[in-house]
Amino acid sequence: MVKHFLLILSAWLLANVCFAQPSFELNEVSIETLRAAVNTSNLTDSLYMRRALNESVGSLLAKRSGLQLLQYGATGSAIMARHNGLASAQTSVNWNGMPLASRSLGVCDLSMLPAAFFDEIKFVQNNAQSRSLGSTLGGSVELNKRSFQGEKNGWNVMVGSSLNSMLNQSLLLKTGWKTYKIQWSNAVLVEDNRNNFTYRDEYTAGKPTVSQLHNRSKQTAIYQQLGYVFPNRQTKAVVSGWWQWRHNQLPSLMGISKQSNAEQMDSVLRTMIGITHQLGIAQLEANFAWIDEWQRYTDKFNATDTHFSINSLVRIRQGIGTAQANWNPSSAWNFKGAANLIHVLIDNSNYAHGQVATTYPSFSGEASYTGGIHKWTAQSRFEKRSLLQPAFAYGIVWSSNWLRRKSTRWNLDTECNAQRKFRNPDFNELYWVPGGNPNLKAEQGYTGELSLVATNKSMRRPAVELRATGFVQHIYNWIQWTPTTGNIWSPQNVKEVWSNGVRSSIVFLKDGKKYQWKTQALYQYTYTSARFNGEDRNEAKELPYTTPHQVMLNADVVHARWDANINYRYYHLRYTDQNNTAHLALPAYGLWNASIGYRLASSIFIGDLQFGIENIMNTQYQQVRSYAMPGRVYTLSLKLQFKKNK
Amino acid sequence: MKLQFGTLLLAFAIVFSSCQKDEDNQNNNSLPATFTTGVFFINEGNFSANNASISAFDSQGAYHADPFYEVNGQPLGDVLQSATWIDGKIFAVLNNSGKIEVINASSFTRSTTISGIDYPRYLQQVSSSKAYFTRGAMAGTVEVLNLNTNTVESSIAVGNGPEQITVSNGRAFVCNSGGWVRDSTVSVINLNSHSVESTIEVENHPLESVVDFEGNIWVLCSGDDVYNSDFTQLLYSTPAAIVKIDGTTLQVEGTYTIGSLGDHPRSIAISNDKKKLFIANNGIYEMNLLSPTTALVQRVSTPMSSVDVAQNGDLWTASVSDFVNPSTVYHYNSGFTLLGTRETGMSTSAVVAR
Repeated sequence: MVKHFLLILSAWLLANVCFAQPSFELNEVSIETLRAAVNTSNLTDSLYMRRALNESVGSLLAKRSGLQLLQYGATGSAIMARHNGLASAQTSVNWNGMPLASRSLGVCDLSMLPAAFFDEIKFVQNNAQSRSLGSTLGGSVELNKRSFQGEKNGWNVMVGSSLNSMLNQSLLLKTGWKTYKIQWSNAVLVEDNRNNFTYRDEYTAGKPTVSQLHNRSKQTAIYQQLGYVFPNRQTKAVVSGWWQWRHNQLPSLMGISKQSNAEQMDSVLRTMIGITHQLGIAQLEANFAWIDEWQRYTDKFNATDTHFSINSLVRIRQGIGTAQANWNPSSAWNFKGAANLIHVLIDNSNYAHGQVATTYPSFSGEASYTGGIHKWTAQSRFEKRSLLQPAFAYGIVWSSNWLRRKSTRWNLDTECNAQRKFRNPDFNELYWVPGGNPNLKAEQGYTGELSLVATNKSMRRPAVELRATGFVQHIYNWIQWTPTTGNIWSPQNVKEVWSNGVRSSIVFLKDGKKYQWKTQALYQYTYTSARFNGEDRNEAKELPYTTPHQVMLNADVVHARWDANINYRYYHLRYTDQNNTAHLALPAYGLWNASIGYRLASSIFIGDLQFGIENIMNTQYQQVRSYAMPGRVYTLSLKLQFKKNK
Repeated sequence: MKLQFGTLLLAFAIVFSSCQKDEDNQNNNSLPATFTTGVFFINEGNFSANNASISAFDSQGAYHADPFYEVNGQPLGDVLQSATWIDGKIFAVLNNSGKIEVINASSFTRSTTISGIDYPRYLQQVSSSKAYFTRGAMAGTVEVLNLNTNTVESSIAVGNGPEQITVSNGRAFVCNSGGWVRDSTVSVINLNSHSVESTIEVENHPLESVVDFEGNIWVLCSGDDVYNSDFTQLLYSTPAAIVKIDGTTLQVEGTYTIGSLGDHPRSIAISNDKKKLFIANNGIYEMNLLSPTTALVQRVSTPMSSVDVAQNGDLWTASVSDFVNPSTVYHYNSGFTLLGTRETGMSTSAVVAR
């Protein structure tokens, strides 16, 4: 047993040494299950994965979820997620439970996450937060790479390449090997996104057509995962490593008559080792992880001021250790508990003495009871950054399947949850010099949701699912940077925000003898109302960049070797300033995308040839004010897969 | 049924697709107002947001939040550093857009755009056919602009981070603020030769100057804060000061420290008789130029970021903006009786009353 454990530990250490960055530390953890909620939407069906080659998680979420994405330019530019009108830092992103948001900025750049690296991408509308290490007030994006699931024993190789009309190209190689004891999977992605496109410059006289010349993005990413089942068959260990490097040219803003010189280089290594052991009716789990991130930003400004430029380097190292237990004393009861220890070390010349280090614990617990048609879950979480800043989250979820035992054609589910949540300040907010505020309190909020879900019971008929969800959120101690004495900006707990809305969706799925058809329609209405502390309620305004109306339509059809997809997204007008100035708002826009694919098959391989058009109507739009987005783009991709099963 | 369901979805999508506004139809291109006289608020806007504006009361007294946008259907640009009225035209200097918009001052229609300028700051007419404008965050230049052709004819090297320009006795006085470093000089440019004839040492961070009734130059030096290498500790501050330069001999005749150590005022204005100086520094202070002293008279106690004097002698001041909420401007008569307040655009840095 010890020998096997040492073997796994050696593999984990080797993974880190191989991708050597000067030094590293731990990072993170894992979450097992999300609550079996009606609010959970799994975005990675097999058809989508057939099509996706070089798409980022951000791009995927934009097309397939109710999340609102803010993208700062073409492919490779930063993508931030917003949910229910809340800020990007308030939506967490987790990899096997590990929070991926930058500890210094508090947000996760979704363009840095290749969708092809994961088996499962879920968007949880209202994460209960009890088992996540990421602070969240809104929903969460869960990225999971499974082990010992799905694949048959044997080996497989997949190679794919894509090229689009912006001269963006990518190469993806995935290999896998599985026995009853070992599973090894590997993925390598190389991208060169030239982003050659033109746009109409809304902010320059005459609205000329401008060529984007400084938006190139190059990326290399490697993902490795090794799983091992111990001879006792009760213990399993998984070692994961994920290294990524990216070089981005940052585009100049629209309306600016010169090209940008700014560039950003990111490098990140994430590794994790997880061990689970089944002990009777309990499952024990321990995870250790570390993360080492580098981010360099350079800006030479212009040719004449060559003696002065920005050249900043931020390095973030994290180590996370967790211990979790899951106990099922009966079929009705389930208990979960976790203890976590998190260490963060950030080198940043804008922090006091250039460095900040902190270690803090967090604890969480969950109890659920299922009786008859009802299920009750109580959750709590405690995180203690310092003696002054303990933060609690707790909540209760009640779900019921009212018609399960009735002889009706339809199921009717309800889910009701009420939670108190928090988001701890990020490290820039706490430690930035000048202006960082170490006395900041965590943002706190109360949220409530009620969902109704109707699904037809008959297996003979096409599957239909109708959902409607109403939500209310009240966030206080909202953090905002404001000028203080000496015109130094400092973050303060100065705002209160209400966010209310409804989400509704229809999913129609028909699995016929000759074809499969899946259609999904989603509409979301969100009304946010924000005011500064002390302001009258009547002075409250909508939060900038919150779209009140959002629509997503998606239709897939598969017939014999052919498949086709059409996708539509609509975002209503978005204000860009606190005062909701009408003419500074970004106008509404809708985007149509379509693709068609053909499956090639022979005795030795399966191939997929795909042709897609994004932004069919060549719509000129902005997701973030002043950042140009590409018009119509054509993409051609080919993927070949070789398998040998035992 | 299948057809109906698909048709319904398609119709649903088309309805929402058609909700997209035709942006060109949103703009009123025939604004009836005229702006030959009025009060104009220079709203810097937020960095990278392309939301700079000039808001204004037109000649009839009606308020317009952004007449340039109303007329031209486009925002003015990114970070409006300054605006100068010359012969029926407004020269709006947009720092982060790297351009100068030349606007018809009566109708607010765009005349032309002078683009491709790195870090432009302030513009000043120096003759009937020429204007100077400053540029550069570090080693700076003064660009010579031909007002007939709106083209840059030549460039004059000055100090670091040149800011505002004042003209007196055939010379232009350029405040070298240092920009992103430190400078403490004023460059004097001969308007005939368009060359620097002298560089005068003043106090730290000279930002703005005015000319008094005798042709002397009064320079606002904002002072400096000096930190240790990792910016964790303020080592010391240098004082803000008003420096008097003789307009003929170019000698420094007097230095008057103002405010408390750590104060960094950024705006001054001179009365129409050129005998009183107004300074925005945690309020509005007055200096009598006939008998200058460091003991200033406080006229307004509310902290203000700018002060300007109108042609009728009234004073307009703008409050410190937080770059999140709109600024507020205050209107006083020459006796400092508050006549009214007004919420304007984002980060109002100056008021021009004509």
